[in-house]
Formats: sequence, C-alpha cells, structure tokens
Amino acid sequence: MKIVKGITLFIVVVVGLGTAYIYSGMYPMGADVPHNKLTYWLLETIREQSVERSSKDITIPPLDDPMLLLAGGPDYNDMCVSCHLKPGRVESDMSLGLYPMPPNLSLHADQHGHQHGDESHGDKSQGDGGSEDSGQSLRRQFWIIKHGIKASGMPAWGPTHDDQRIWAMVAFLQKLPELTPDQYQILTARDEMADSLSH
Amino acid sequence: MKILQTVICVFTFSVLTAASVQAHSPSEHKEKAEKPRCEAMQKMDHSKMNMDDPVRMAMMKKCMKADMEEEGPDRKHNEAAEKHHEDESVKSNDVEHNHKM
Repeated sequence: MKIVKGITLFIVVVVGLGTAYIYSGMYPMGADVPHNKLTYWLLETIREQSVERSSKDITIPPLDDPMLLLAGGPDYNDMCVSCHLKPGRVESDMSLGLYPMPPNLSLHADQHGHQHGDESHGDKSQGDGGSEDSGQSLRRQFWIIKHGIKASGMPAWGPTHDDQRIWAMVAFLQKLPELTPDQYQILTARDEMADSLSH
Repeated sequence: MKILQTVICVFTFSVLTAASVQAHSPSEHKEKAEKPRCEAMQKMDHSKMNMDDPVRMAMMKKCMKADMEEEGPDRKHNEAAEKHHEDESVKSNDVEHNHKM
C-alpha cells in the first residue's frame, strides 16, 4: 500500500512540476536557442516515426525521365532554394535563421545528416525498383513536400501543387547533390518548357 | 448587433484568405524567368558524361529548345526571304516564258 501511495505521490509531483514549468513561461522558445537534448530527441523521434508511418504506403512512380528534372528544377528554385540552398551556395538568411536548421539538399545525405534517397550516391531514382531504404527516402521526401512539417518552417505544398509536380521535385532532389552551379542554372531556369511540363 | 458584425468580419476574412490560397501556377514566376545559360555546356567535359544520364539529356533538351527560340525570329526572317526569292524567280520565269511566246 505504501508503494502505491509513493508512486501516486511521485506522479502527482512530476505532473505538478511539469505543469508549473509549462505555465511559468521559462522554456526558451526563440529560434536562436536550441532545444535541450531531451526535447530535441522527443520532437525528432515523433517527427520521424510519424513521417515513416504516414508515407509507407505511397506508390513511387518512375523518376528517371529527364523531363521530370526540367519540371522539378524550376519549382525547386522558386520554392525551396532560399532554405535548402543550391550548388555553390552554403548558407542563406533562412538557412541560418530557421530552427531546426533546414538540411542543405545540395549535399549528399551523409553530409547533412538527413535522408533524401541518395545514400550510396548512385542512381536510386528508379521508383520501387530501388532498395527499400532509398524507396522509403523517396516516399519520405514526397510526403514532407506535400504535407510539410509542423513548427519547423517547412510548408505543405500539397494544397497548391498536384502530386505530379511534387514527384518532379523529388526526382530533381535525387540529382541535386551531383549538379554543378552551371548545370543547376540550366535545369532550373524557368521557361515555357518548364511551365508546360508543370501542367 | 455586435455578434452580427463579428460574423460578417470573420466571413469576409475567411473568403479573402481562401481566395488568396489559389493553385501555385508556374506562370506566376514568368516575370522573374531567366534564360538557361547554355554556353556553359560547351565548357563541360562531354567525354566524362554518360550519354544516358538524365541530367545530360535534360540539359540538352533545355538548350536545344532555347536555341530554337533564339533562332526563331531569324529563322522566320530567312524563310520569308527565301519565299520572296522563290516568288521573284517564278515571276522572272513567267516573264521569260511570256517573252518567248
């Protein structure tokens, strides 16, 4: 009986202290102060588990058509480059100011610590024909672009972009780390061809 | 009365907000559209490029399209000049033909 009382008292004290801390306003919410390790782990784990669960049943279309690069490149340049950078650009106001810091998608996954389907630096843009890991990375990218991530600065592009355009961006992301600044400029220049492909 | 005013304000705000969330059309970006700098492709080492590489194929398509667009007015002008020249030839042939008759 004493044990039950002790456990109950402990829970009440922990919940009470937690509630008091939440309402005290002492937690630093500024984006220029990093989360403590516990909060960071908690949020990151929740995010990754949720994205994996939500995206696991997405069917990946073939992504090796060059025309997809011409459709996804201009969209990436218009919508993503300010945060996720491009070849030859290592930082921007957004990439430095956002917290968590958006991954530099012009680098390979192992250089920035996030997955984006290029784990072995090879051509994994073959839809479901690729390895399971790369397939899940592609699904993950598609899901994140479409639905965004809460409280991270990553918007949901799904309400304003159809799936075809989002997959074109995913296809472009697979090639982005290998592009030179000149190649990037050619592929992302928006012209009538890119416009017609996007429709 | 206040409730009615509040409802009208909220409704108006909702309608305006919904109207602004329209499909993001690529044509919105036309004002800041830029041409691909395809001259950079000439500097690239093509021997190291894989002919089946989607990046290479995409760049080729883009630059071929850009070249055609650049040549567009000149090509039309040349075609018009050729047509004019052909017409003149036909006319002169007709004149010669008439003279012979």
